[in-house]
Amino acid sequence: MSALTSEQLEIAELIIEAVNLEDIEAQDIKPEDQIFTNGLGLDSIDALEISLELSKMYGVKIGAGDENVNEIFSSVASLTDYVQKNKKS
Amino acid sequence: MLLPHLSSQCQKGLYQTWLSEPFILHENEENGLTRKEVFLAAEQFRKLLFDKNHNPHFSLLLLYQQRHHFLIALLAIAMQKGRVVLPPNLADKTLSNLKVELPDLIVLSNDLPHSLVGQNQIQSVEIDKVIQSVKDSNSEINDQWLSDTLENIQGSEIWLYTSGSTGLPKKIIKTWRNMINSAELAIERFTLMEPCYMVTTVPSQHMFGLETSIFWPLFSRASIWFDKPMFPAEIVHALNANKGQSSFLVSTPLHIKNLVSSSTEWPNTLNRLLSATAPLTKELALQTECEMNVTVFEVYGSTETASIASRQTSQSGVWQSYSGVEFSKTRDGGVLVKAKGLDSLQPLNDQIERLDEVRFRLGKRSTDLIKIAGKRASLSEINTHLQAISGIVEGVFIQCKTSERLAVFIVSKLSKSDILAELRKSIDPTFLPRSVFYIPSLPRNELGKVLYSDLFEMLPR
Repeated sequence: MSALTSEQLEIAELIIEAVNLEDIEAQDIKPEDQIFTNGLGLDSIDALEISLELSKMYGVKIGAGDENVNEIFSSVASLTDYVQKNKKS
Repeated sequence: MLLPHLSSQCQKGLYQTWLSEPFILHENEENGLTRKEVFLAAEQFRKLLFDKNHNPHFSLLLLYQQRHHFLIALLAIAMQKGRVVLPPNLADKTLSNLKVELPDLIVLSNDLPHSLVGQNQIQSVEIDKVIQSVKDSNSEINDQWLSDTLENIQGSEIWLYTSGSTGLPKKIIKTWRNMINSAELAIERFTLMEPCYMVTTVPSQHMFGLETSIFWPLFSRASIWFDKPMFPAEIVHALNANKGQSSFLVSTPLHIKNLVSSSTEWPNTLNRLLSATAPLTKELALQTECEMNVTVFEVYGSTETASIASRQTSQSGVWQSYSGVEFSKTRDGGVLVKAKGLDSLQPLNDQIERLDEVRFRLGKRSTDLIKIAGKRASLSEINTHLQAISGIVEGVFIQCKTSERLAVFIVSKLSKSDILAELRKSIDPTFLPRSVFYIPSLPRNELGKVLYSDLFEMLPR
């Protein structure tokens, strides 16, 4: 089991906060865990709620370009990469 | 005979405008479609679909997400008097049951769900080819053909499903005649014979989406966006495709709540927003009107009745029924509704308090239905699925206070991921529990009924 980097931990905490996953701790999430379907079991409305938090925290606007939304949300690691690349510093 | 509200104005050239004005706006402008092109493409797709299949009794499972693909397929099937099936969700059990009921199922979808592997599948690229051929041929539409076509499709069936209070999905059959008659009432209420532009965030496979993204625009002067946008930035992008017409956004309360708090700059052509599928609070309606500079309407209806009433929630809690909608009471206190678009009296899931001929208030919901993001399920049904999992001693679903989402309290040694994997086979992902709480036993009263009040107390705040 690989541990989360500090950036990934921040994103994992944001996901838990955004969608009220009361029974999960950020440390328990693995970087390669799928966010939807089989991993954390979230759906498209959750994606919307997560995107809102990302926009507030990092100024990242998902869906504004022609990126593949499914790929961005495929895992905690890929979501973190996307945020790091696109965040407003 | 065309539609009454179109044919009465044919002399003024409205009919030709209706056929040839921009109807479906696309990402690439040249891929946009007029109603004429939609009808021509549907006729070609009909030939392609039905020439390949000689069995007249097959059904088509329509899963396309983009509006132009969905509409052209829907029309093509209707032209052949075929039957289109819109599933309530894509859970394995739902689809396997459908496969048993309808063995000759053809799946119109780009991805074949796991449980439908082996079924005939047609991808939307086939429709794109047909659209291209219609655009290349530059053919005209024959008035008589269109008139006959509109007459012929009236009896074609659309199967929708809804979670019944008995716990089993209930099949609701609507004909095109039902849908068109019902659409006329909404078109009148929302003045959609005035040119306008509609962007809808809900899928066309459920009644509210089917009405607002397909039937209302097809039979009015409203144009639509080809896709189903979700993120605020996608919605703004869709709204901006419109060249100055007044825009109408259609969504659900959960989605609207997110849009309002997204600090997005909304185009000033956006002036109306329509919400349905769950109650919108007056506070959220007021906040939305203020933040987005729009008038917010709510529609009331169900899969059984389609939409039958509306209100401007910020101004009044009272509903105004559409023209000609009538209510009556059954002996046991239930409410029946009669409306243009319904073949028979339909029971409502809610109690109503009538104020006069057209105005009413909603009372208590008479079943155990829960709604999340425009989808509905019956608590008793999903509890049955939970309890059917081997390894679960007992368990119940509960709706959290902080969000609309569900949690479960269970007595079991199974892990959360095992429980989710089992539940996923039978229920829609929207209703999967976000949290799983393990307890030694469920709190019950002396009659053995689960004490939900105690469970609520146990939820984290």
